[in-house]
Amino acid sequence: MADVKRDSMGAEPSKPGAVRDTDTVVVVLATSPSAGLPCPGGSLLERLTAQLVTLPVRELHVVARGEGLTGGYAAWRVSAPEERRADGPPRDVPDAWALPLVDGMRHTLSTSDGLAEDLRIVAKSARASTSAVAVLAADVVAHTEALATLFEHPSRPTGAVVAGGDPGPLRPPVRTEWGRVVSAGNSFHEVEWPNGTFRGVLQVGEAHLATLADVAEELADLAQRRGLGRVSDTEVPDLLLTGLVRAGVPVQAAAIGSLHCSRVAGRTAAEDAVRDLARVNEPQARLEAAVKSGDGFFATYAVSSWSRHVVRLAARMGLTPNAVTGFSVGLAAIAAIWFSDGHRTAMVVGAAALYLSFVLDCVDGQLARYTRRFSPLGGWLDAICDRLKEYVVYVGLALGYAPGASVWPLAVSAMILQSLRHMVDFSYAGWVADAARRDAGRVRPLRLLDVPWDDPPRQQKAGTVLALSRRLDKGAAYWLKKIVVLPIGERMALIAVTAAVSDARVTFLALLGWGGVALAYTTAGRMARSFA
Amino acid sequence: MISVHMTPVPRSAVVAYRDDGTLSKGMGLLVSGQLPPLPPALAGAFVTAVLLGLGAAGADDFAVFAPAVALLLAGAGSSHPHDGRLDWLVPPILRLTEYGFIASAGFARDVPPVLVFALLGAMAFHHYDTVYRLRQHVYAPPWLAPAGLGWDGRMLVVALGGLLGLVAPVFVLLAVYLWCLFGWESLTCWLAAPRAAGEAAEAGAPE
Repeated sequence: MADVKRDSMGAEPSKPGAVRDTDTVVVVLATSPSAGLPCPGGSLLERLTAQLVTLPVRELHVVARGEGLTGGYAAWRVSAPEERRADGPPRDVPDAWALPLVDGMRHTLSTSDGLAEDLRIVAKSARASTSAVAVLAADVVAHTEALATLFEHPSRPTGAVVAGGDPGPLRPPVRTEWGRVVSAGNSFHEVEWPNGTFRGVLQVGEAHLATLADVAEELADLAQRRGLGRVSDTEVPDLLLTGLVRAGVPVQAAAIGSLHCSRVAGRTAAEDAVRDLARVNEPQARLEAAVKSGDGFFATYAVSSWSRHVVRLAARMGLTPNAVTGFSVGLAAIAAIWFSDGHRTAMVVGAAALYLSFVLDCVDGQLARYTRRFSPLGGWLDAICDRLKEYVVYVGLALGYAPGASVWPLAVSAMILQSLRHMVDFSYAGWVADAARRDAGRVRPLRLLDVPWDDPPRQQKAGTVLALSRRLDKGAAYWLKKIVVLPIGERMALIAVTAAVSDARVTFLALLGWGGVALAYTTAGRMARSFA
Repeated sequence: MISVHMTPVPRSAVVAYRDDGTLSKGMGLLVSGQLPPLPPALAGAFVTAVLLGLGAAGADDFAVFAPAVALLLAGAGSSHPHDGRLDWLVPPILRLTEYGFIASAGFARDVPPVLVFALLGAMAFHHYDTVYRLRQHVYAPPWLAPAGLGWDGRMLVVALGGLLGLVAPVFVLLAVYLWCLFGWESLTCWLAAPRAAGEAAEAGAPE
């Protein structure tokens, strides 16, 4: 089973026997016959179980229909109908696909007779759990890395695996905005303006477990009263996602890039899906997903084009993102020291050091995404060190300028201008967030679960503006828009090039000129948007 | 009896980014929040610029009065809600006023430029840190704003140094004090932040 073997490069790969309190509790709904569809190595359910065992999962609850148990699970039911630990498989399990054993991982099986009971079991698990709870359909065929985006994330966030494609029976529609699921559907609940599909994997963070339980119970009551139309019992994850979103829980849309994750029905679909998994190089896809981001032109083409090799090397050497940040600061200090010498060779060496420092600056974030080592401290260090590096380089350049004619006022002006530009960005973003919070406090037309309809997105009337802006988000116009605002990559390149071929005075004048244009451009744009 | 000290969550990001000191907040309370924030902030920046221009050109330094004027004007808008369409311009305007005044005062009185950089760096560190904290829900304790003197307090201290002819020593003292205060407080706070403080941790991409 090559596709369940994990690349152990990730942070703290989950070794057997290392189950921790923060690990996720997974409820697998094996209530449809699809769970028993054969695939290489057993059934879909067994395949999924083997994948979950390699992830930080501490409990696995399988929910099945009494009559429809398959393969190894059927034998389990014979010998242990309610619950059993995974460390002692019964002797009568068919040898075909022995269930993976993990020390300390609770592995339970319960039977349920329908949708309402399925939902109540989820509610019970949510009430009982002290860590994140995930709900999965057993007919999910996914790369382990796709599941890991949620289960291996250090903060075990509330999120749902969302991908593109047209909505279908096992791909309910969702609408996402800014990486959040803002509306989710199923065969009863509708979604206006869908822009993605939910792929059957939902994780609910510890903070939202109570809401999950409430929502699951409410849905169970509705299902019992036949208040959910023609909803079928394969839609438990979909219903729960709708419930959470309508209850106002922020649900991240976990993007999986070129990885696969989809639910299947029918034997050929299952075989095709499993075969398609093998066509994707999983570690490669994970690396690409980590490197890809909406960076500027210089960062994209002069750094991210080759930084993946550095990311892989750093991961192999076991470096943490924070250590890479440290190396980046060190290189910037070296650049500043060379710049402070002022001679041509020194300036060229300084420029090279500055470029490498910026490469490592990009690598730390990519490494964090690749190894899933996010921490607030890491994010802060990265951001604050960026500022520190830049201003230290300004000081080095000013120190190295030929004595006699002072360049210090220019250096200080460049620093103030840069801080101002950031402050405009931050302050506008803060103002937008404040406004959103005020809106949320004032009118909160939370959608109830017993009505099918959905509110269309509020910005719909600005459709033409959005469409225009989206049309500009391609090709040359896209890059021009990014370059005009002199993002950090362009700034570093500007400093390195002007310092290498000219002197500090030219560098600061270039920073002030371009930065001034950028400040005017962004401020004017934001003012226009404030009145829109 | 268990007492729990909770760090208050700022109600408005824009107001938090203002970085008001005690005096500025007092001015806002004095007019009981009746003054919208943007016009007085603009006026304060304008008057500061004019006084700096006069001070740099003229024999007598009018610029030492700039902080008081800026405080009287911009401070008065501090407790009004910052919900006007352009109120997000207020924090950048306050930064321009403060940084511009400090830099001009430093250069006009021949303070070593590295020192000017050091003092501006301490202030910028705090202002960036304020933003990053709000983003990742690692809120600053309520005593930090008065202890950091606020934009108003820092400008007044430098102006006082100007009146007494002690600009360079004041720059040294202020830079050391602010770096120690902001650096130490921020570092301890971030080191104590829970590892999994939420989804915002991912937003650490450059810029």
